[in-house]
Amino acid sequence: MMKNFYTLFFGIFFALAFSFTGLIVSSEIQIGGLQPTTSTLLDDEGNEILGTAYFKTLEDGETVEVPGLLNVGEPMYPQAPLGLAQRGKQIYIEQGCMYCHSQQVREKGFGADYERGWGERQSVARDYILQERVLLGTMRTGPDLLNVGDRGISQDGGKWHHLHLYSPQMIIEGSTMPPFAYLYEEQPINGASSPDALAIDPTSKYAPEEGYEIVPSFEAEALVAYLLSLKFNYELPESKMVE
Amino acid sequence: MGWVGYLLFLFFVAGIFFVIAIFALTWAAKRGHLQHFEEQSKSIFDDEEPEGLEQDAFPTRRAPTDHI
Amino acid sequence: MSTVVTAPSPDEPITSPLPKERVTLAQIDKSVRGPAILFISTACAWLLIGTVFALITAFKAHSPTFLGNVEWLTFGRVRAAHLNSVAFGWSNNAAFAVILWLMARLSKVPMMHGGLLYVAGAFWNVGVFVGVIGILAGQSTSVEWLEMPKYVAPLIAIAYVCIAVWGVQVFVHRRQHFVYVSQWYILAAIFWLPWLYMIAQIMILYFPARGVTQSLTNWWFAHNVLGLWLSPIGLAAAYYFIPKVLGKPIHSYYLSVLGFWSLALFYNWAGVHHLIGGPLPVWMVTAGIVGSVMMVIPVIVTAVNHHLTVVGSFKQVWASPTLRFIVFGAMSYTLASLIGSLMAIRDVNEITHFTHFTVGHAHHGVYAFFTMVMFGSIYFMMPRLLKREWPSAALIKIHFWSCSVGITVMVVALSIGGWIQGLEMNNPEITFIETVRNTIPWLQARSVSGVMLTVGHIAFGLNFAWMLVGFFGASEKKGPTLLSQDA
Repeated sequence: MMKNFYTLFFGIFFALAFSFTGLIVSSEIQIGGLQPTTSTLLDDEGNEILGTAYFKTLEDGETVEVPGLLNVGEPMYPQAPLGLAQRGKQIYIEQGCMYCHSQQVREKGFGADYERGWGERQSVARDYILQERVLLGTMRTGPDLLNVGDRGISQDGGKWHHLHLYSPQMIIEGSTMPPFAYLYEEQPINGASSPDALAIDPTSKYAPEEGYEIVPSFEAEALVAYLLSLKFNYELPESKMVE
Repeated sequence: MGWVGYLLFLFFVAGIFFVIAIFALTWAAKRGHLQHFEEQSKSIFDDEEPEGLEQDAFPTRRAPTDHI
Repeated sequence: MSTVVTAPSPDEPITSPLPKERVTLAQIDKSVRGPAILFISTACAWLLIGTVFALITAFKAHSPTFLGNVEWLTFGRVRAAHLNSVAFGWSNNAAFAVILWLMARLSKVPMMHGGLLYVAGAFWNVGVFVGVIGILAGQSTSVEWLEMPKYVAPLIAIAYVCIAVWGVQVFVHRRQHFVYVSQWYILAAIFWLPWLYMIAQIMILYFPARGVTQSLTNWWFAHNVLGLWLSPIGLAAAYYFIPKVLGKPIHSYYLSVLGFWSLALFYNWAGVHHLIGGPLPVWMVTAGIVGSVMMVIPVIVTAVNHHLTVVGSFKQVWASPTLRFIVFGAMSYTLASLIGSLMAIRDVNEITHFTHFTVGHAHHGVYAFFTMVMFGSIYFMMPRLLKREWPSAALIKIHFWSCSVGITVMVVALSIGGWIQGLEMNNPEITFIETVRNTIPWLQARSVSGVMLTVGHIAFGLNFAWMLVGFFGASEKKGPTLLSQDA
């Protein structure tokens, strides 16, 4: 039993200091120094190595861990989102997409992330180092989006995404995703229809009135550009595609 | 801010809280409390709301002074 | 139901000593009155606002086209508006009232210069108001529990510092020799929150840390808002009101202190369990799991202590509006915490993570525990602050039944629905849209529970407003109140 306040005050302080140091500070030490890297690293003889470091045997028989060398000429990963996609990430944040969509892939065997085609390898800390706001997410009311830009639905230049954002229920029956029709504009068709106009079946109940068409606003274009940019198709030394 | 700068900042913040804790500790030690630990459980009672007297009930229409 | 100490009538023996007139306590209560009423009133307003957002969110979850064309009310914004209204608006305003009042009462000294607390209250509420409007207008940060745009942080921080300083100030000038366990919980909470809030604001919003250190900081903060801020305050209230209303001391003071220490030690590691399986070093996640599982100790210790205090007095608990709510809250604390520890185990987390189960669990903690305890505390404080009785016993009962049944329905529906959702999501044979469709009935049940909670909140709001109108409309009634009989 405690005799005085010493223990109490020390305890109140150290309880939080302990987790602060243990989690936040040490995370900063471990993750703060990560840099983009090539998918494969080389040892000092030019052979490809696995992981981020290799072991070298010294003359006296001792082994030391040596960081791998960049594979010069190979592209560096991860890569930062650029231009319109970066603006689109801001729309993603403003609209609160992350409350239903995560952006992380768990290792094969833990959940069904791999089997559902959300990514062919586990996402690791280095994958996120260039993101100013990390949106891992904690809900999967909708599917994970870490790799959405690499899926079949993204291979038509964003047409599918525009239709889906305009009215998710039109594309996927029973979807609970909110419609983002307010990011689209209805305009009268002047002569030829706009090349950006959404290809909505005119007989469907989602179609605009005759003589009108639906075109994406700048926000919608940016958001789709961001979705298309979400590609997780590269390897890192510490995380290789599952065979 | 580079990550080394970040670390320094974090340690700085931790340092401030440490100083506050030491200060509070010294102050508390001078007062020397908690000698009779178990007695504290009765410290919420006093003459005006004594132990053994229940303090809450659903309101009724009667004026409160009627039954005090 | 006849209970409690009644007027001595000739044919009944006096079983308890009669109280003296409450001179000192009345003076202390009065010194906190203005600020406390301000905080409780704004808390009630935020509760009702937050409830409206909650209903909209709940309906949209199963009927996405409901208000589908209103950008300000799209799901991703109104959900965040709900969270911030109830977390920063309702919970914190209520917590401030309870902290200040409890601190003054336990220190046996009137609050000095309480006027400055009006300024703090104004800053806080303006900050939260601007923040919530900001979220709806599209300035949300999409950082869970920190959605309000970063420019409101200074407003909130200034208000908080005022309130914390006033709480500590009363403690420093205390006339009470002993320090009660509630005061420890409150002091610790007052000390912990600014650290959490400041670090989270800086490392996520002002000078974003690199990569997933942000996510780690995010959950270290968000879980500790519950664990090191709301929970200690809820427990401080429970440790005060249960023995106070029953008129008998807490069963074991030693256990209560043991509970305090183990909570302080383990709870602040627990937040990382929100990132199990995520892109973080494994040892960090493991530390989070260990912290979460170790939480069983403080929870069991506290539960045993509360139970042994209450045992044999269930009739009195039922007869007291305060204890009905607080004992419900204390029991929910035990259950929610134990389920939380289970959810941190990897095999369980594999199922519950990313599902509505987590949403149910969050309401189990923040509503069934914390909010119910705050309701109970307010039922005790208001008559003493205003020296007048609650206008309607019937409204209190409606409030209790709607809220206790409503939150039970919500937690059960989301737990079952979320569990099924998790099992199906981990089975790649079932298409994703199929898992979504199968959650709909449970989400509809959640909406029904939301309507029940709304009824309860309206009953509470009405009773509260009626009481305030009575207070400002009539001259002060003489004498202490609340020793009445008949439920």
